[in-house]
Amino acid sequence: MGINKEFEQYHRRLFSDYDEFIEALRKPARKSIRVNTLKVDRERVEEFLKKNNAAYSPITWCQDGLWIDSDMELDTVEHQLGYYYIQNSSSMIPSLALDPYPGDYVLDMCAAPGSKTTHIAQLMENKGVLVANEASFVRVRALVINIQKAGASNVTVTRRDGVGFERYNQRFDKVLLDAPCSDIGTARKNSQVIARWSIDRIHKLSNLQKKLIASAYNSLNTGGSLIYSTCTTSREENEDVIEYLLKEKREAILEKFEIPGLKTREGLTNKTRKAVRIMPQDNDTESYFIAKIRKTVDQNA
Amino acid sequence: MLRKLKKEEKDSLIEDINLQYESCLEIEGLFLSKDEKRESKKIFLYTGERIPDVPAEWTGIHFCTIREGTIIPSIEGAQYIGQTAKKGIDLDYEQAKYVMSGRDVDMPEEKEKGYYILRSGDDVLGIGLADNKKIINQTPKSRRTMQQYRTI
Repeated sequence: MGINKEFEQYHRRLFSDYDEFIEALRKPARKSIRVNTLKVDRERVEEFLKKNNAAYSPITWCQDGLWIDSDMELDTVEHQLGYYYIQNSSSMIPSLALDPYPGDYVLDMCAAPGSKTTHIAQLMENKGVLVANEASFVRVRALVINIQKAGASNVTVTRRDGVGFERYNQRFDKVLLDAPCSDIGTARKNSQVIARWSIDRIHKLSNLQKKLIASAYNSLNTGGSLIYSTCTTSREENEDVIEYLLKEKREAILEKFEIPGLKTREGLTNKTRKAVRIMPQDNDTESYFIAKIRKTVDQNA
Repeated sequence: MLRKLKKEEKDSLIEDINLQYESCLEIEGLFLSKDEKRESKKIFLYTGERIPDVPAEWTGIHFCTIREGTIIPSIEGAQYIGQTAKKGIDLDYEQAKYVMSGRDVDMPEEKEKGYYILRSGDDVLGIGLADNKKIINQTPKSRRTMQQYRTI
């Protein structure tokens, strides 16, 4: 894994345990799946794994998640029938933090390829309303295939720039914005993301993320909650985006949340301590950043 | 453009499905119809509380296609119709692997020409077209395993 100097200098300033962080990124990604309870129960998938002599164990923070610690081929009949979704264990966390209920009205703003959308539909038991949006035409196709495969029948797919959701003022109870980002968290499966990393790029992404979070927040009902997440490490794409929203929207409150069974770290700045950072060396996962924001009534309005 | 089927249209479609596949399907949710003027009409199942007021690319799941009066369920549609369908063909797991990799398989028993629900144990694999001692594969390309199997 080639690490450019700019990346190293930046991240050494960010993390006191930079060497452990890089060592964890050098390890291959640990395989994991999520049982799709819209179609089968966990026992059915476990029975299949046993039959294939696969070493597996539960993911402590996701009751439907399983680590697969063997070379077993996961593209199987059961996979194509939609019994499980091949999903990184840390990407299961934003949907859990969103905590959707069967009657909720939910927006997944940057939804492709659909791992979180199908997880949310599963948590909603195919009830309520789930709008899954994706701006890219090509990625919408992948999203639709995964929705179909999962049997997620409460989903409506839209294709528009996420910023365009600003016009859907006060529409949703819960919004997930898993924002496009520099993807450093995925380095364990694609080391090219580190080669592509640059300060210039994260500033551009940060500007986009600020527009998206403003739009996502606007589409939220009063009392509703927004999960902002990225699979990357830079402060500009994470804490700075949250601070921007808190400054722009006086009634927005950053809330603490916990995911039992998961080791997390606080956000890096004083105003974002309640946000959560997930480091690869702590749980053998990708890097992730997750913040939960509540829209309250503006007392000064 | 999707159109919500009226209650009597939905009931009539379920009756047709049950007649064609000798099943006892009962299903909650809305049926939505697309491409009504084309030769093949697509039916979607939507179980959300209400259809959101947004310009949609896709709503719910594709349940079945109706072509010249014949109902051809998607894998998910077949999974709903699934276990109660008497008009089905039971395959072993090796044959199921062939079906899901996009291959035709030999018929385990002689059947009249037409569409059948394919099952393997408790698993519903979708639909197959029985024709001349073969089951002609209907698994969409997007749902095939990448593993290659030789034809049996």
